[in-house]
Amino acid sequence: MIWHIFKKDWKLLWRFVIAVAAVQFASAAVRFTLDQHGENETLESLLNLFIFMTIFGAGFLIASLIHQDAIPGVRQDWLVRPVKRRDLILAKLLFFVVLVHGPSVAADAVQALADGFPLSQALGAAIGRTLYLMLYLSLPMLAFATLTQNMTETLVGGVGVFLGVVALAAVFRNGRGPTTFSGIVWVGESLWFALALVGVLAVLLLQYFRRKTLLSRCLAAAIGLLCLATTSMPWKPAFALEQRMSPNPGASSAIEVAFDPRQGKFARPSGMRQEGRVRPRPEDAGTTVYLPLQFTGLPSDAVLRADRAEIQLTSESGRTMFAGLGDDLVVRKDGPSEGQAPAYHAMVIRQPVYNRFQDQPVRVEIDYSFTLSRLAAAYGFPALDGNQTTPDLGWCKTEMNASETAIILRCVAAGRVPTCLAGFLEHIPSGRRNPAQFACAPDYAPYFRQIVPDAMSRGGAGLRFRDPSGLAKFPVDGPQLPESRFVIRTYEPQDHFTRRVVIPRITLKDWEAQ
Amino acid sequence: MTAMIQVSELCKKYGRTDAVQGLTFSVPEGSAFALIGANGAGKTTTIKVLMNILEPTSGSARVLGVDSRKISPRELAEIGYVSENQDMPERLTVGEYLDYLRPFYTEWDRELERSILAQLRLPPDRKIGALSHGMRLKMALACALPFRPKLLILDEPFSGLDPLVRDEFMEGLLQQAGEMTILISSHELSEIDGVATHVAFLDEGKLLFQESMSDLTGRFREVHVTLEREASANGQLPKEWLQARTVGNVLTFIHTRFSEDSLGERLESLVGEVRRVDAQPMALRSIFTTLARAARDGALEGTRK
Repeated sequence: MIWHIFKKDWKLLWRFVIAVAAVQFASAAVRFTLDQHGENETLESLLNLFIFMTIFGAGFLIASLIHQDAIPGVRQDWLVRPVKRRDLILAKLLFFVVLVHGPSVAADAVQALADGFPLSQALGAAIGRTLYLMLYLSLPMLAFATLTQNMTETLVGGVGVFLGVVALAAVFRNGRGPTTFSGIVWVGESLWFALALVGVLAVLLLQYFRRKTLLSRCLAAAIGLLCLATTSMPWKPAFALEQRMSPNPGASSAIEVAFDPRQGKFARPSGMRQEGRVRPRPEDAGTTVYLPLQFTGLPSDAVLRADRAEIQLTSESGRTMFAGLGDDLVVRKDGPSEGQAPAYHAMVIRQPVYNRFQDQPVRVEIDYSFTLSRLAAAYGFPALDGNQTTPDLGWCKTEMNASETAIILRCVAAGRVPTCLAGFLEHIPSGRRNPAQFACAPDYAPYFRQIVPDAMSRGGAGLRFRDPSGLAKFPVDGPQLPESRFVIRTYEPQDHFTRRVVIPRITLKDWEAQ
Repeated sequence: MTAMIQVSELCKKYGRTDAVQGLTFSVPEGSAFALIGANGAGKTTTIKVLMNILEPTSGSARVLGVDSRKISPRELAEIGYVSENQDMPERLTVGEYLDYLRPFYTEWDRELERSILAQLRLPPDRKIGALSHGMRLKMALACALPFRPKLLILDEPFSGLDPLVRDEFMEGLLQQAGEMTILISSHELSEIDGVATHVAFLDEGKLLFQESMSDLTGRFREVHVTLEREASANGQLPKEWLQARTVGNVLTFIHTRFSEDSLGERLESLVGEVRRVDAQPMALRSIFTTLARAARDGALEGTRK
C-alpha cells in the first residue's frame, strides 16, 4: 500500500511539489547565469529570494505531507481505516526523498552538468548536499511535523522552538564552542547529526506506531537540548578523533617545535600586515607577546597549521596567571626543505594580567594541535582572461579587477574543494614571482558541508600587482601580465598531531614586538 | 450470544477531568446498540477508545475479541465508522477518496458502493471539502458500508441533519444492515427509536443502565389508578413507582417494573380499593426523561430491572 498512499499524497500535493521544484530549478538557472556572466545585483537579490522560498516552501511541503495523515488528534479518517502504520511511514519517507529532495538533487545536478562537470561528479555533489540538508534541516522538520496536527500548530510550534533555540544558544555560548570555526567543527556536528537521527527515528516510530505525542514532544525537546550541547564539544576528544582519521598518520612524526630565543624579538614589518594574523576580539584586547619558535623535521612543500594553541602562564609560585588561546599560526615550507623553519607565535595577554606580571619570570606551557598539509596540486592559469577546468578547483576564470590593481581568480566546482591554497603571479619568460598569498579556511570534514545555495563550491582570490599609492613595487606588474600566469597551489591535510612546548622561565616584557 | 464489544470498568481522564468512569457494558452480536446521553456524557470518548483513537486511562475494552489498544488493520477492515466530526481529505473528490479506500479492504463490493452512492445521492465528482455537513455524513456512511463490516460504529450520525437527509441516511443504513452489529451514539432519542435493539444510558461519564429495548419498553408504564375514595400518595409507595401524584381519587405514577398480573393486588394492598387501572406503554423519550430525573433525584436504584 506504500505506492497507493504515495499516489494519494501526490494527488493532493502535486501543485505544491511542482511549485517548490520550479523555484529550485529557477534558482539553479539564476546561479548558472551568475557563474557564467559574473556579478549581477538584481540576479543576486532574486537568488536570495529563491533560496528563502525554497527553504520555506520545502518546509511547508514536508509539513503538508505529514498533515495529510496527521498523527495527533482524534478526528482523522485514516485512524479508523485498515492502513498499516509501516506502509504509511514508508510512503511518507518515499515522498519526502523522491518529491521533496528529488527536485533539489535534479536541479543541482543539472546545474553542475550545465557548468561542464561530469555526471558522476555532478550527481555526487548534489546527493552529498542533499544528505547534509536532510540531516541538518529537513529530517528534523519531518519529525517536528509529526508532532503537530496542522499548519497553524506547526508555525506556532516552529516559532516557539526557534525562540527556545535562540535563548538556549545564548546559554551555550552563542553556539560557539571550542571547535567552532575550526577544521574539526564537523566532529561535534556529526555527533549532532547522530543524535538528531536517533531522535528523528525515535519520534517517527513513537508517533506512527504508538501515537504518543506528548512523549514524543518531550523526547524531541530532550534530543534538541543534547544537540545544542554538542556545539560545546571539548577540543581534546574532538581532535583525538580527528587524529585517528588522519589520511597519512605518522607523516608528522619527525616534526618538533621548541622555544628559540636566539631569533630575538619579533620585528613588525613596516607597512605590512602579518600573514594570517587576525584582529583580536575586544574581550581579548591586551598586549601581544611574540614567542620565537623553531620548527624542525618539516617536509618539503608543506603547510603546518596550529588548529589550536592552549597557552598557560604560571608564576614562580605555581599560580596560574593566564590561560587562553594563541593566535593563528601557520608555517609554510615551499619547495625542498632542510626541515627547519623559524616562526613567531603571537599571544594576546589581557591588559590587567600583562600589567601585573610583565616584569616577573613566568613559566609558559603551550599545547598545540597541529595539522600538517602537503602540496596536492599546482595549476597555472593565464593571468588575463584565463578559463580552464581543473580536477579539484573546478572551472576557473581569471580577470583584472575594475581598478586594475589585482588579478582576480574565480572558481566554481561541484562538491568539495581544497580549503588551503597558496597563490602568486609568475612571469613565465623570466620566472619572476610576486609574493605568494596563502589562505586557509580548514575543513577536515569527511563529507560535503553546504546547505545553500547549491552543491557548488565557489571560491576566489585576488593577487595584487600594482600599488596605487606607488609605495610597493611588484616583480610582476601590469606590462608583464599578458605573459604571466596565476599559479595556485592546493594543500591537503596529511596528519593531525599534538605537541607541547614548555618554556620554564621567561619575562613577558622581553617578547613584545620591537 | 457473543459480545462484539465488551467494555469493562473503563475509565478515561483528560487531565483531572473524568470523561468516562468505570463503564461496563457489552454489545451483543447482531444487535443495534444505542449509547444514549446528553452532550458531554462520554459517548464519543467511549467510542474513540473502542476505535483505539484514544487510550483508556484504566479498564479495558475488547472489540471483535481484541483489546482496543491492540486493534490492527485486520480488525479495522471489519469495522465501519461514521462520526459527525470525521476529517476526510477535503481536496479529493468523493470518487477519488473511494478509489483510495477501496484497496485497503479485501471485501470491498463495487456494486454495493455504486448502489449506496446512488441511494445517498452523492456526487462522485464533488470535492469532499465542498460537501455540506449532511453530505459529509452520507459520504462517511458510503465509505463505511461497501466492505460489509461486521461492526458499524456510528458516533452522533444524525447531529445537525435535516429530517430529509436523516431519513435518506437511515434508509441507506438499514438497507445494508443485515447481520451487522451496530453501535450508535446519540443524544436524540427519536433518532434511535425503531432502530436500536439495545440501549445504554450514559450520564456524566457513568453508565446508568444497559438493557434490551424490548425489556425497557415492556417494563415502563404510565399508570392511572382510579380509587374508590380520595387518596393521597404517601411515603409508603414502592421505589419502582416514580413521579407518583394524586388528583382527587386518581393516582398517577410511572411503573418501572410493570407486570399486569401482580399490579392489581399490589395496588389494593398499598392504596386501598381500586375502581379502575389504566397502564399505558410509554414513549422512549418519556422513559428516558423519567430515568434522567430519577438519576438526578438519586432514585435510580429502584428503577432497575
